Amino acid sequence: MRRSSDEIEVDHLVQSSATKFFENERAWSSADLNTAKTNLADSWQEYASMGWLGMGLSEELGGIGGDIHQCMLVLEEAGKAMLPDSLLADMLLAPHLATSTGSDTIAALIPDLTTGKVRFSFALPAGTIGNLNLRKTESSHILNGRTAIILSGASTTHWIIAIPANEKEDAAIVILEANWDTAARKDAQLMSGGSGTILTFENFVLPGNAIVVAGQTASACIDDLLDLATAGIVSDSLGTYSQGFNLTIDYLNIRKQFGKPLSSFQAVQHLMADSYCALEGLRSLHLAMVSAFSSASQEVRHQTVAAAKAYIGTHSLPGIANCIQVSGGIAITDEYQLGHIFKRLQTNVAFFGSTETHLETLYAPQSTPVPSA
Amino acid sequence: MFTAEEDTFRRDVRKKIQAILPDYLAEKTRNSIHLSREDMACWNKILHENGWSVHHWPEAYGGPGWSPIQRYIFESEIANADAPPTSVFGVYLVGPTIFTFGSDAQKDRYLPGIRSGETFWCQGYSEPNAGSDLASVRTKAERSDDGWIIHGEKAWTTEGQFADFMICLARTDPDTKPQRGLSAFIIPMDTPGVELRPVITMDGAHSVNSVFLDNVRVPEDALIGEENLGWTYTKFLLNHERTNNAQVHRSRREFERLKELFVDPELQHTRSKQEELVIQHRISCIEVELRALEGTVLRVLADETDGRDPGAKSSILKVMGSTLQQTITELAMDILGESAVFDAGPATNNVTNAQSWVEKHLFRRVVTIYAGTNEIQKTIIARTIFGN
Repeated sequence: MRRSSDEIEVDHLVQSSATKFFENERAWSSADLNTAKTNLADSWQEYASMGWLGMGLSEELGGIGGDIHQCMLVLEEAGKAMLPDSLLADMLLAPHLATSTGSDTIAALIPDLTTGKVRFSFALPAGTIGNLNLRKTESSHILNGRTAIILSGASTTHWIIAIPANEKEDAAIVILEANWDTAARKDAQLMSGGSGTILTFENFVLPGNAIVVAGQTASACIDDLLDLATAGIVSDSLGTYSQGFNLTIDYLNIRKQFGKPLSSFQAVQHLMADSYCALEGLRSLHLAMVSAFSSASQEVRHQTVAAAKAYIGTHSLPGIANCIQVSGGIAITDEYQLGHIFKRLQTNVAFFGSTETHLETLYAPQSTPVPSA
Repeated sequence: MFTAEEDTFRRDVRKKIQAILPDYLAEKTRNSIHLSREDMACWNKILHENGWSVHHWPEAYGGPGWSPIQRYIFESEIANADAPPTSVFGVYLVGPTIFTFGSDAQKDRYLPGIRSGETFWCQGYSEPNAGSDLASVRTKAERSDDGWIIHGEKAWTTEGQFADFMICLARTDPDTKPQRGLSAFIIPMDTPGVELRPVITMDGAHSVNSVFLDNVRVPEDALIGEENLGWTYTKFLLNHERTNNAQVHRSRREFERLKELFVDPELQHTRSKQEELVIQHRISCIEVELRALEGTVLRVLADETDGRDPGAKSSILKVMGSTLQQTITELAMDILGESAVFDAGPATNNVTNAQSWVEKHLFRRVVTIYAGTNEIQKTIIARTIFGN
């Protein structure tokens, strides 16, 4: 448990090495928007050499034994660097699945995960629970339905597919190779510039070892994965937001109008003070959220994740909108980073539950989150 | 967010508060009734007898020696129990000023009364023409043969009607920069020349006053610390009391009461399903903001514990906290609907639930104004974030 992001020396080392890597190797440039700077497979090998893939796994399993705070710090830096492809499934989800289920299917993939040869992404049902269902026959399992948009789906080698329980069937988590051609697949560029994929299954017969876990354990594991994925999005958003905020502060100190820096105008100052409150608010919720993974019950953790995720919609997007407003016309051009920051946050808001969904989670009449004594 | 030891501490504190808090004081606090001096003194005395009246003071001056997080937990439990707040001026403002900058004689003379709750203080900083612009203080203090003569007018003097003493900011050097020529003095309220006039606020209550100082003579040792350093002392205190300004525990407690109000059956039948959903949404939004504020307060306290500079984030607490206080009562007004405006006289001892929310709502307009308006706070925040 941390109460400050400045408490632990190792955290600093993890974060500063990530900052340095992204600054040197992945510096954002509008010129690179439509051309991949580095081959994806090469990129993943670089991330592997940084120790980020399977980072939370123990050294025996090929990880570096980083805790969740440290994983989130790397994701925060990736958000700051506006990395197009998400690391969260490889850094958080696959390792959790491996350690919590003991499944041979995932265990067999872990060595290639830690070297960057295998890249995971996480699929949830589209809209409501019933949109993905797994039917058991005498000899096989049949998958039907449509997934929600899979973050970084186009660059993945394996899909982790969560199938929540419905009225007839138990929950299950399935891993499929991304080149399986029975699923109809639609890839598209996301608003953020990254990739997204929607899969549609029609009477798809699962290969024998595809089910990683089923039943009650799978339900609990899906809850864990969803919270972890959502938390990863919050970390990314914190990095993205702080990048937008710092960029704006620098610009306002330099850009002059009416013979004075924009930062000297009170109306501008007050809007940026509001944006700063939103930055620190998100940082506080982020810290509480990450701490909850190691110290709180599942229910409390779920609520702290929901609060942080909702805040991106209620405060972070308006905070960056303020930054665009005070920067003026430059901020709405495609070559300036701020518009891309806004689009990345808007994309993040859409993933793993809308703002309204998370606010609904938090609505609990007469309950008190004050720790019971 | 709390360790096992801290949870144990919370349990012990909660148990003890339950044992020592008189019901009638909890009832009054719950109903937002302005407390009398006797009420406040009674609670202060009880806390003092248990060693808790000055919980954030150093041990050398009677504090219990708690960590910042233990203080946070204590304050949260005090709020959850509907215990009255201790007097802001003596405990939070004057005491720390005196034990940090005052003479040994001043410490011996004034600190015991603050600890025990036997003496009450008010703050003489603001003036009719010096509110947010505190450096424009015009009240003058001039040397006399045996001390000082203070002349001027103070405004918005909260709890002045209860106070035994005022801590007064006065100009001692008119020829230097406005901030440099101010000094801090102690004025007994019964000194000849001190005249107090009540100011009735928009909630219909008397809690603030105007205080006229007509050539008030005080002795040499009424000066706190050094001459002309009053501004420095004031800033020091403002920087050290920011987490208190967030009022996070009171807001959490009021939020719980707000949720109780929302499910009140008498009010529920007046609402459409659509209204229910909108209010649920607003309740969730407050929950998110409250968690953000709680987390930020804890981060500032963690910095304080570990000796780190909290930087600009400590200055956002007042803005976030005060806005949230108003948001809570604004939603209460919407939940109450017609009940909020019917029979809305000043709160008495037989106050209704609606009246207590109205009282709170009206008085809450002040929280974004006092202790430096939120606009001043935002200018301070901007100065820090722009590095100017």
